[in-house]
Amino acid sequence: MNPAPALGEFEQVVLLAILRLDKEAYGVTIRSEIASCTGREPAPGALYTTLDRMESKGIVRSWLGEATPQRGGRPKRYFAVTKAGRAALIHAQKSYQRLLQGLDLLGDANA
Amino acid sequence: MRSAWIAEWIVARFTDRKRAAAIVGDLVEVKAEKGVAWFWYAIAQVLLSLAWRRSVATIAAVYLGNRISDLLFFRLIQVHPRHPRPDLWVPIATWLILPLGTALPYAAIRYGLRDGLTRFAFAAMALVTAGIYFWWLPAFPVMCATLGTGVVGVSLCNREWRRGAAVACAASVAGLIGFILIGIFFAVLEFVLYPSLWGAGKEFSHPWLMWLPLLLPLGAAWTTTAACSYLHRRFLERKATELATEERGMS
Repeated sequence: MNPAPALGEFEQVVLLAILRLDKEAYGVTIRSEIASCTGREPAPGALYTTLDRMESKGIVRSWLGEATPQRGGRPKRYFAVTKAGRAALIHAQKSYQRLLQGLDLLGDANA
Repeated sequence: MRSAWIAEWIVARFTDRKRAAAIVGDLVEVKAEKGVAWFWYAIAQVLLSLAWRRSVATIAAVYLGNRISDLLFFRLIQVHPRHPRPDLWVPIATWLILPLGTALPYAAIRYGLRDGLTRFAFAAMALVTAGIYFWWLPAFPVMCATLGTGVVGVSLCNREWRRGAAVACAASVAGLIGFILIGIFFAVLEFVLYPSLWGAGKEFSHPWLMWLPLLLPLGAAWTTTAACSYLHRRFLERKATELATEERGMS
């Protein structure tokens, strides 16, 4: 079995946003979810190239949805996290948790 | 709406049409809230993100491809006349240096060092370089056969590497064919334009002809990078159907 692909920080943020949005994850909603959760609005260019890269790595998959008049008749491109992407995210988050063990960064002292 | 169609056409130059439509559709959706200036600023950011790696890779491929092929080609013709041997690898190396030397920096910058195409191009280039520098060693044929078998064997044992090897070979052949066709085209063009003149006198009378040889490696680089780009997208990037199959396999 192939090892889980390594994920960068922004890739993890995007994957978490896609997981939170479930079936409603497309460019606009992913950007606004990241902005509302992190307080930082990602640049459109960075978001789309990251999504493309993750798709070519097999971490996410995409499909075209409905075209709406609000979008000038253009379809939405929806994204979902694949099993390989979920495994990679779990692996990355476990690494963070191991690094955080013994530190009181999220405790009352720094809240 | 006209600006959205223009933006979609521009973005589609750097990615496929469906992806371009979805990206511009997202930006159109937000444009009503953020305004036209933001829309075009976002389009510029998207274009920069889509194009910078490809642009840098193409420039590096043209420059490094020519530098590498000059270096190795002169090494080849310096050594070879002193020890003339009708080895098969000499013409093969001569023809492969330019396309392989172009494909290697292009793939390394555009797709990264872990990519199957980059790995195979690096292995093949290392083998050709070793051949050019060490062919006179008595152990060279054995060493070359061993390394070549190793490269082919390793390439066959993994699907991504197998595809990478096929893409590198096909792109090199495309680059070589491009080089030959452009050379023939320029020779015919020169003959059609100035049929009665030959040699240095011709270039003295029409100095622009001196630029034609410069366009040869540029044309070869363009053919090689275009073939790398197309074949990589076609064979090395995962498709939705492949991902679905993998998903089924994992569950």
